[in-house]
Amino acid sequence: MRQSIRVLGWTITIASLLTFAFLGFSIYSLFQLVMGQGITPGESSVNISNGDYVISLPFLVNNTSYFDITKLDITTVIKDPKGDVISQSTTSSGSIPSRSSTNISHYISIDLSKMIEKNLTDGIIFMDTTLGLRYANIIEFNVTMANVSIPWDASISPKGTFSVSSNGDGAPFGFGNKTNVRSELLLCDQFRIVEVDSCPF
Amino acid sequence: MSVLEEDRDWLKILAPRILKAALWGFIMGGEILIPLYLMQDFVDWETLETLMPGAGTELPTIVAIFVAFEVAIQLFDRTIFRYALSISRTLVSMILFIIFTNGGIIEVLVPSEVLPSEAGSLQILVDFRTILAALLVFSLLSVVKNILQAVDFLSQKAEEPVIPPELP
Repeated sequence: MRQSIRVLGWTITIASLLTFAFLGFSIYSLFQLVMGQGITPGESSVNISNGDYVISLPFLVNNTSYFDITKLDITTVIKDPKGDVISQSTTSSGSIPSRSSTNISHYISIDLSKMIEKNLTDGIIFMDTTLGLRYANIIEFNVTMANVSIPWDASISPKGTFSVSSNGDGAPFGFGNKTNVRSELLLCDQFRIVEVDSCPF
Repeated sequence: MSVLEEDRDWLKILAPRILKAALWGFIMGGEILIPLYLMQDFVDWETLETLMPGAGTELPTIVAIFVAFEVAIQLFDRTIFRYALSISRTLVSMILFIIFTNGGIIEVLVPSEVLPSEAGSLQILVDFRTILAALLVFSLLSVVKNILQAVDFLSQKAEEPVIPPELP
């Protein structure tokens, strides 16, 4: 009996040490991945399609760590200055094995009719971004950046200004893009451009 | 037997135990207390507190508790109390594990002063409940091991009912 108890004791000690070592190593590896160049954003672009203002954010996930990323979720929530949600988008990716990379595109879609309803003109909108990943099948990691302020005014392009009315009902609406991303007007079937100060297209 | 001889006998028994207890107390946590004491002005207790709520500022107290347990276990070596103390220590460590890791979810809120002005707040959350559960299972196995050791100790005593030779 004494021998078996001793074996049990050693087993517990070794298993506990291995578990602690795994925990420490995986958290270290995870921080190296997230804080290093593991997840790099690409060049973002903006399209207006079917009445939606769609921002495309590509990411390159290069899993240089020693463990698999089992699940990767990117969630963005756009809010008006009052805190009401304008848009919520989630992108999920499958498993990203160790020593491999993958491209993920996250799309933020803003319904322009909602913006008209809210009569949102110049000002600041807020964005919450959450990056959630399940690592090594065991550890879940979440980074949330909340209330990031984004300037929003009545210029769709950095080069010019559009004034838009919705379906000719006469509700004036301005929307803007003060970021340094490329903007393209692809579809405008729900909107009628009544005045263009300067059009890049 | 004179009182002096009796005292010497007690000293012969207790001195090695006290030395052993001091050594094990030092190994099992005492060495952590010394740098903590020496560097208490340099340790960023607020960061420690953010990472492990409650554990940061209480770290020396926790280490002192474990050192006290270890010293007591070594002092009560070859008695049934050793096993009772070992079980108590394991249960205390399980409770502290759960409390100080917030049930396996560590949440860090990065202060807004270190972030750019347009960024609102940054929150980092690490969820390792599975690993905590594994560690708790190991702790429970340790409790079982201590109970088995206590049973073995008592059965040995029952088989050889003699006055403990170390007691004068």
